[in-house]
Amino acid sequence: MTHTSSKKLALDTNILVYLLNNESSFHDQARLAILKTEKQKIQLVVCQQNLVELIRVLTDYYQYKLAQAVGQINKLLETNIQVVTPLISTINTYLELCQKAKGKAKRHFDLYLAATLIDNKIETLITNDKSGFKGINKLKVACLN
Amino acid sequence: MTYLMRTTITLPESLLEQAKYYAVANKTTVSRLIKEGLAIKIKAKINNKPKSILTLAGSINLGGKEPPTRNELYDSYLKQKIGPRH
Repeated sequence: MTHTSSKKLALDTNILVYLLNNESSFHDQARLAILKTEKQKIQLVVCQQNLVELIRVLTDYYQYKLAQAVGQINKLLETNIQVVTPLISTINTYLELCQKAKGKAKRHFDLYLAATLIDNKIETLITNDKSGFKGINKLKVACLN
Repeated sequence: MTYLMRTTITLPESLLEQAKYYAVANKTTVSRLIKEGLAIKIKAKINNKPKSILTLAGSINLGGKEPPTRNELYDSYLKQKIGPRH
């Protein structure tokens, strides 16, 4: 993967689905948002977690065959997108986010995704579901519209 | 018009010797060999530039159904794997 810019922006799983799916009502918006970031030489990033989620969404929610879903991920890995992974410190970052978010249950996988991005110094995430990322100061979250 | 520049490079003795033999045998010059080798290497590098993720835009048709939220995605799996069994 090439890194041509210090500016990095993460795409959430739902954005990947919108981008791939030409029937999605958000397809054009996702495509345009990515086009805009590429023109600005911003490096696009996804977490490994997003790729696992994408396989599950494609196979379980859209009845896509597993081999085809894996093929899509392999194609994604051949593009200019950078894949980031959790670091050793990510569990601590996640636990800090949990403590700040106490009382707001059922968003742990959003928090873990956010922790991975924060540890990798990614400041912005594009998603179409901001609800799980509320109150996370170190991560800007933007919707498509 | 291409301007030619003279430069100095450092090569292992054995490699230079092989290059000279190769050049004589193939009726060329060491300079030309180096020029062609560099051109191949640089062209391959340019061609290997990863393609844009936009090349995958609209590559599959999943219908108009919205993807699940992350909670929905994990909840059903976790209930199935570690939820209470009846």
